[in-house]
Amino acid sequence: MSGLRIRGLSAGYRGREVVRSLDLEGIAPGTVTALVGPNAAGKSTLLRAMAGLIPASGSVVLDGEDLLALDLDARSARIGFMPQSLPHRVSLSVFESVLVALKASGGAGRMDPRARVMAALDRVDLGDLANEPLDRLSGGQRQLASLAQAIVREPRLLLLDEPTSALDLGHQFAVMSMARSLAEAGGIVIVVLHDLVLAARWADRVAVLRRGALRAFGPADDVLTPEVFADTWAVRGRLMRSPLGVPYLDVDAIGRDTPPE
Amino acid sequence: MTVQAPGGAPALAAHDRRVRRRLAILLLLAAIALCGFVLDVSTGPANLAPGQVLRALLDPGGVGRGLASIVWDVRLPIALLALGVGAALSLAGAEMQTVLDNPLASPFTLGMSSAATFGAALAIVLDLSVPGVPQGWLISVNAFLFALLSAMLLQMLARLRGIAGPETIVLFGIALLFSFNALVALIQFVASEQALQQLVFWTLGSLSRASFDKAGAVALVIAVTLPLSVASSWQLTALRLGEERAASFGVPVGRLRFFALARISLLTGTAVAFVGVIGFVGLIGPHIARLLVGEDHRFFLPGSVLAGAALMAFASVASKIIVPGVLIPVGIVTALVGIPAFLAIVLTSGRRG
Repeated sequence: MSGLRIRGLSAGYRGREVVRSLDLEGIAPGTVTALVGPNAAGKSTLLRAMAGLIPASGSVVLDGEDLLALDLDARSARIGFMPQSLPHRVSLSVFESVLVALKASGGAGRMDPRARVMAALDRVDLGDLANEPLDRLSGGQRQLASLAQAIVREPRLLLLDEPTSALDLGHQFAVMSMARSLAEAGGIVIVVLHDLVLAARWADRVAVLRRGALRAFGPADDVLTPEVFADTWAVRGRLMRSPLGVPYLDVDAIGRDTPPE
Repeated sequence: MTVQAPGGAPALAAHDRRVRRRLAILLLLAAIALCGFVLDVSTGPANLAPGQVLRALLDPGGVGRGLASIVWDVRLPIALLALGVGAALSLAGAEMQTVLDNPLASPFTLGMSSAATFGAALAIVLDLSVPGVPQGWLISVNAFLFALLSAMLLQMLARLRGIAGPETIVLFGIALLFSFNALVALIQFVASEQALQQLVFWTLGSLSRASFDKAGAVALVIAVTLPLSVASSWQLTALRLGEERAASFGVPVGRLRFFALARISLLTGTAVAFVGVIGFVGLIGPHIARLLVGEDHRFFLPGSVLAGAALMAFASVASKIIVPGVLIPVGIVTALVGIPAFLAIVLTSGRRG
């Protein structure tokens, strides 16, 4: 039973349910899944619930094991989570910020922690900046440091909440290709994205969320249809591909009532 | 998911150099605190040379009885209590700034000192206290109990699931601060002139009632809390990267905050009970440590302890020499000593770039 299966997941804040009995099945190892949807659709809430950061009911089963039933240590060994917000005004070096991700709880494995930190930093191309203060990095570099913190435990499930939001084009490309290569090493990557072109370009599957429920799930070209654009984002649009197969969006009107062509 | 083979030996070497430099800075801070301590014992109406003081400390029988008495009976308790109180308040401030994610947090932000003052005021003005407490300890016991009470109120709030973010705790602490200040003002309003004077003196913070018992009690509390704080240092460091991130690393954030607040209340309650209100150390001690050794809490917490101890030792020295022959309440002096030290470090660390 490898892969990820979510059943009947409900989660929210202070009694306000944001994700409502959501089912999402068939996320295979070695794949990247993009979570997309309008603002307040519950994308980040779903990610936090999967990571066990907010109370949730239902089940999130990874390789036959219900993640919601695990204790903190066991969960942190299996899941890497990269939050949307970046820490600020922290007097730590890049190296220290990743070392602490490894040392903050048990279950981090036996290999020399310092070597693992350097490996994670090299992976995100920050090896040369290891001893720079975190505060002195650019927004994009800090996002990469945040990614290194999430992957240093070598989790089987990597959850990224808008990892490209502060990044220029080159860094967006770098982060997404890194997510791909991490998945290709056998893990599962789930990434919240606002940019549908990035989703279509890099993800194997796209899950569209609307009002806390799953609207559609599958390959980008099957999922991002004019109907889904109309009832999810209230725009008239569709996913197109250039002759070379590179995806782009064609959006030409705003309004939920706009009928798809 | 696996990450690639390790590399980066120069980066690791640079990291190791940084660790060694921080250890050296901690040693230097300890040396400065020790110098402040010796200077504190040397300073007073009967001016003693540091050499004489060291001889009297190391070999009390080998110096004159008068000298031994000045050093051991009068000055040593004050100097030891100064070190202990500075260390305790600064450690409490450091943990508080981390668990509340607020650089302005100190034992006073949460109203603990105001609560202690209210307890002291009850004892001084209305002679109200716990039955069975010896007369000489009334004020201290009351101050301690009320500091703990305010901490327990905060703890109850922090246990309320879903409501108690760091901002809520800080806001509640400020509400406590103003409530207790109002109650203290009310008591001051009805107090006799003599009691009022005593209360004002208490709120200024003074080391003049020091004794070996009190210094020992503060030392004991530090000896109990510091190892527990240091044992949590990785988790506290993780918390600096954000609550969500720390939780994803496997840090039980709620429990960490609960035990940190428990340590903070014990440290603050004990320190305030014996010396009254001393404001500045708990705020600035941690900032000095942060500037010098960063926020890896393995270094930051001991650094805060040492910076606080050094600040209080020099504040105690200054309280004796600003007006010769007069012991100014040390609470007045801490800011005067602390601010130049703080500014000097801010400016030099800025230059280092």
